[in-house]
Amino acid sequence: MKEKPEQHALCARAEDLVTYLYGEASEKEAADFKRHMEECRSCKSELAAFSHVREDVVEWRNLSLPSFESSTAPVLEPAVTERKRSALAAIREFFSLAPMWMRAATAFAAIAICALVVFTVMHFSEPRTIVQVAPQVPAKPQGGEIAKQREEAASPKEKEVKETQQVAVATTAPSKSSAETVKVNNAQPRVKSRRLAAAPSTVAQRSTEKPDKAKASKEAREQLAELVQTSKDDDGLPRLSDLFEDSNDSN
Amino acid sequence: METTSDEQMVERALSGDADAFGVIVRRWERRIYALAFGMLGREEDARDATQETFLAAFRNLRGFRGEAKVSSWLHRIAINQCITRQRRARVRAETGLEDEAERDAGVFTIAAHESPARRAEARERTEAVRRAVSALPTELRQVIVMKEFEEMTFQEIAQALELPLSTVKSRLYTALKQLRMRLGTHAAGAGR
Repeated sequence: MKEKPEQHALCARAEDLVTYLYGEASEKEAADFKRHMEECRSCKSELAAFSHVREDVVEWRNLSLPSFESSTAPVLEPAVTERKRSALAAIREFFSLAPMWMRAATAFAAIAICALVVFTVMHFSEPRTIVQVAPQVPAKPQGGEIAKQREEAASPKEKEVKETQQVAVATTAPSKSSAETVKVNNAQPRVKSRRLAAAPSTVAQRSTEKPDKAKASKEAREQLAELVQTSKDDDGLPRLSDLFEDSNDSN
Repeated sequence: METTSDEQMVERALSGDADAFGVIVRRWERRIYALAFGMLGREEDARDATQETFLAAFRNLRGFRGEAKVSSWLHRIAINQCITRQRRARVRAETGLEDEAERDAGVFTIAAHESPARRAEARERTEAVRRAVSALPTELRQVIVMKEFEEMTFQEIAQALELPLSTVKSRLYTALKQLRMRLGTHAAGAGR
């Protein structure tokens, strides 16, 4: 139903109506004009009609101006430049545009990854170092004490394995030197299961270097191999001993 | 470069910096074009008026005294250019040098995926709006175009036109009222 503007008496708040219509009224002014509209039929009607007029004008603008925007050079230039941009430039732009927390998080992630890589590399190269150090452990007087402490800390399962091995060694090699060798070798799994994995080659090397320890019986070595095998099966995880098995066999 | 004010850029241009005025052009060309398009209603006219506006500004660069903002100064030049062009066009139409219907024909980009009926309706409506805006007196048309096409605030319009704020609001109210009367049938018929 068409509403003729002439039917309503003009309201003195025409400027307030325009200010409210374009959203430039303050909160207080807007609330005040809303209250006014509840009573003023003229303003309420004009506000609705002017909103429709605005929609029409804006639609005309939107239909007309896109052709201008798409045909101007300044819009196209950045797009062309962006296509030629290198990866380095993209990273630079990311760091220049990203918020501070994102930059910090990225830097932290990069450091964490580097640290993880370094740790992994060191971790896998660690057994070789220990192989060289391990033979000296029984030579020290404190070795027994350390072994005792480790024995106490060892899990019941490891203890059981050790006891079984000691019994086996006592029956096959009662000599002091062989018993000592076994004790040394038994100490290895308590240090670390992966260190133990390297022990066979260590024992083999040491038996050729030192005459008294070279008397270690073949059974002791077999026991050690069994121990390695037992340790590997304990937790079902792969061991470096698999890698050393070949070298042990060759020795 | 972008943080330098327009007024500083004018000073640079006056001191011989050849690129300084180019920066001003790039900053304001879109809005001046929008203003010209709203005032003239034709793309071709709007382009010409925009070009002439910046040409006139460059020629009169030394006349810029810095009392007003560069944007206000450019808007005034643009409005004068639009008024001059309309006057010339009216004379040509009266002397039969240009077909009135052809001159008034607007260019609208209506989405191709719309149905023919919808496109025809949209074309008819936008044409009606263009004619209604073009029929407004210049002082009313410039405020409605500055508000709807450039989305300027009342304060900015008042500064650009060197008018009191209340005059800008009352002119806008009058412009909307006249447009409502001209488009009244459509607005009510749309049932919105």
